Amino acid sequence: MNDESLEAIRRAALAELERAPKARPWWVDAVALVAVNALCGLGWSTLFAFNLVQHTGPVLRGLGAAGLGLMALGGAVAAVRPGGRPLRVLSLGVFVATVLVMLWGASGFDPGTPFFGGVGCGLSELTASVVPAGVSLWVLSRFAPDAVRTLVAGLAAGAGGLLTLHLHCPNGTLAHLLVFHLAPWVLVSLVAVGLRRKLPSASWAP
Amino acid sequence: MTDEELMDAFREGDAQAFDALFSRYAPLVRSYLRRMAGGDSAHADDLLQATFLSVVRARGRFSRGARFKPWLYAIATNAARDAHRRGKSEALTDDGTVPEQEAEPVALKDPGLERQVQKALAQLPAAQREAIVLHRFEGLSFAEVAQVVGLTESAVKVRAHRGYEALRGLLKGVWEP
Repeated sequence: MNDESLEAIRRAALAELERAPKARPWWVDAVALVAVNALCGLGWSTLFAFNLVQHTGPVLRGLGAAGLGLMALGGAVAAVRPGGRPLRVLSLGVFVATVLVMLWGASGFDPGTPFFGGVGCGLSELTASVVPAGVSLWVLSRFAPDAVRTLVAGLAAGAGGLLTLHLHCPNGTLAHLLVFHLAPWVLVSLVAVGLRRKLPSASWAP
Repeated sequence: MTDEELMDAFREGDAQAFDALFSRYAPLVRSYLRRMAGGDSAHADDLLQATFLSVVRARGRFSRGARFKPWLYAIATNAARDAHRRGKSEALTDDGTVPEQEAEPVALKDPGLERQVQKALAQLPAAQREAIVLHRFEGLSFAEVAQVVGLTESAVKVRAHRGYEALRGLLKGVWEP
């Protein structure tokens, strides 16, 4: 055992402790993510008028919105909670249930616009997700890379933007919902997972 | 004091508690990281530093009631995994073994045997190597190894079993794991 190198490592760790003598509790990160996701989701949603044509009924509309809200807020907590693997798995279950509810609740109403006219919805979803996803990646850089954790954080980051589309967009066809609402949501999460693998980590702690 | 009591004090900024944990675990984790890094001491020291800096930075995330040792080894394992993924470890020769000058005896009494075990371990898939090194060499229970690598206990047992089978093949007649 090289005592000198061990001593150097010990000194480096103590210097780090001196720089930040107060431990940062895990819930600080959770609160930050919840706040950003909530502000972005609510902000975008209130910018547009609600549109009820897309949905077959108030129950499914409400369930879809509740699922997205739960993902945006609960997913953010699950993503950073220490030892929260069961919560993260549960979040993925909420994601699947929300997708099913949204598709089940699709009205089938076609406003008559060309199919690729729906690109605007996809771009809105991606634009609305940029800030929450960026903040999520910044927070997750303090954790060891973990694909499930990042996937849940990415889904939470995209849920606010999707809530806006869910409440605003009149197009209720399955193809539109799949391609321009749900696919961008999943895309945001997968891009987040890919980026997290490339980004450096400030800590290797789970 | 137990590790967890020390960790509680360390979370409050007690440097002496950190010192105690460091003295208790730094040599053990260093030996673990050496095995994970194919015997490369300098690389193991880099990983050890990353591990303890992570302990300091993330101490607020250590859950009360959790056990310190699996948490610490999880951090070390994550650091080693990432370095491996980024290609900083395991500079193997063309025949897939650790270069002679890098393979150092770590814990087994016979340096020649240690070198052979080290080489054989380096040839295992990372997941199997983690399970074996943590269980066989670091003395963690399968439940603790499961906590470290974030899998179920049965999944870890399967990995370890496959790893031991592969090691038996690689070290036939030399060492029985």
